[in-house]
Amino acid sequence: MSVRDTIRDAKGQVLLPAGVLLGDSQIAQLLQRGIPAVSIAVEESEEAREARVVARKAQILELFGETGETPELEQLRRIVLEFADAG
Amino acid sequence: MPVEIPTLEAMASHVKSIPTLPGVLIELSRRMSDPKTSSDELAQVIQQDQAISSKVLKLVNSPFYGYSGKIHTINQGIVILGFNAIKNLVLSTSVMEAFKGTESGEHFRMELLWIHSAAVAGVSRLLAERSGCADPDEAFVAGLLHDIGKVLLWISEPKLLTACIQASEGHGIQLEEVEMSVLGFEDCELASVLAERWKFPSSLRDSLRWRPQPERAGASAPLASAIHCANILCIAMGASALSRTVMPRPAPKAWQSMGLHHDDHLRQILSEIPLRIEGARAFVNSA
Repeated sequence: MSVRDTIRDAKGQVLLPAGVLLGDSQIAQLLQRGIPAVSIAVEESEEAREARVVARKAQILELFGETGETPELEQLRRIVLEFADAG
Repeated sequence: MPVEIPTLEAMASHVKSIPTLPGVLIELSRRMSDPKTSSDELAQVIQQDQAISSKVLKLVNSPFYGYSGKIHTINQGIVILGFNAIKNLVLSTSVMEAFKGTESGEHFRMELLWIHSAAVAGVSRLLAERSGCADPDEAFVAGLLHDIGKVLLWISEPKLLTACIQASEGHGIQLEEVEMSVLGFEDCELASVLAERWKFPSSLRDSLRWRPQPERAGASAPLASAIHCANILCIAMGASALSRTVMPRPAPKAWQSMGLHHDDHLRQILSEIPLRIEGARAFVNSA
């Protein structure tokens, strides 16, 4: 379990940089500094990633249809699908 | 029993029951037009309203603005972000406060609407910065308010708006087109009535009115184009105000004026949107 975003105190000083593993001592330290919650980076399994890509592509196809109605919509649809493929 | 359809005039009179914006905003606009006003004086005006000044500080220190914990006073905020940015934050906070407590319905969820609006605000600012077509802070406010007419319609005629949304979803027709055929006016017309009542600058009023057809906004066409494109890009990236949206068609001239007809530029802008959507959630939670 690692920290998703860099955590800073009220003066903007870094307490924990993004990506640092979060153990019991770090959690205790954060609570002591008055930080009750942090965002955690969740590692995604390959199956979960594939399922997310399929769901996102279905959502895009529902939104745009099989082809974009205008050249601008077709361009947008094509590039948004590229983003979905890249996960 | 036939359903009574309200006219735009009737809806506009309903707008009169919407709370006025706080005096601090009017005083701020007055002082800002005087070049002799100092940042200390402006800070004092904002601090007269404790609720608003604490919200503004909370917002500038939220991840959305990227000054996490670094801005401690309104005066410091003015020095770092500038007069206009702070004034627009006061405006945004006041508008969201005016509509606080509006209940959601099955087809119209306020949380979705505000997250979409804040995402459009962030992307409008991004497009204004990259294209240099409009003031980025004004683009932010215009983006935040672009769907405010829907909120007004929801507050006064929830059944009619629900019927319009259902017809739009069911037939795959743009909501604005359904509104025009059912009501005889579009929600963006209501947004401009509210902007007039709240004495917003004409550029903001016109860009809200002509957001679906930005080329008709006259001198405000660049600002209207920024929010028009930002709205479409946010919907395309999954941040829609409605759970099922019919994809709006980009106006070719607006699309080109933002440089989005170039694949590389479109890719670059789209790559920055997920972070703006995440920031929008933080913004809505802080406001």
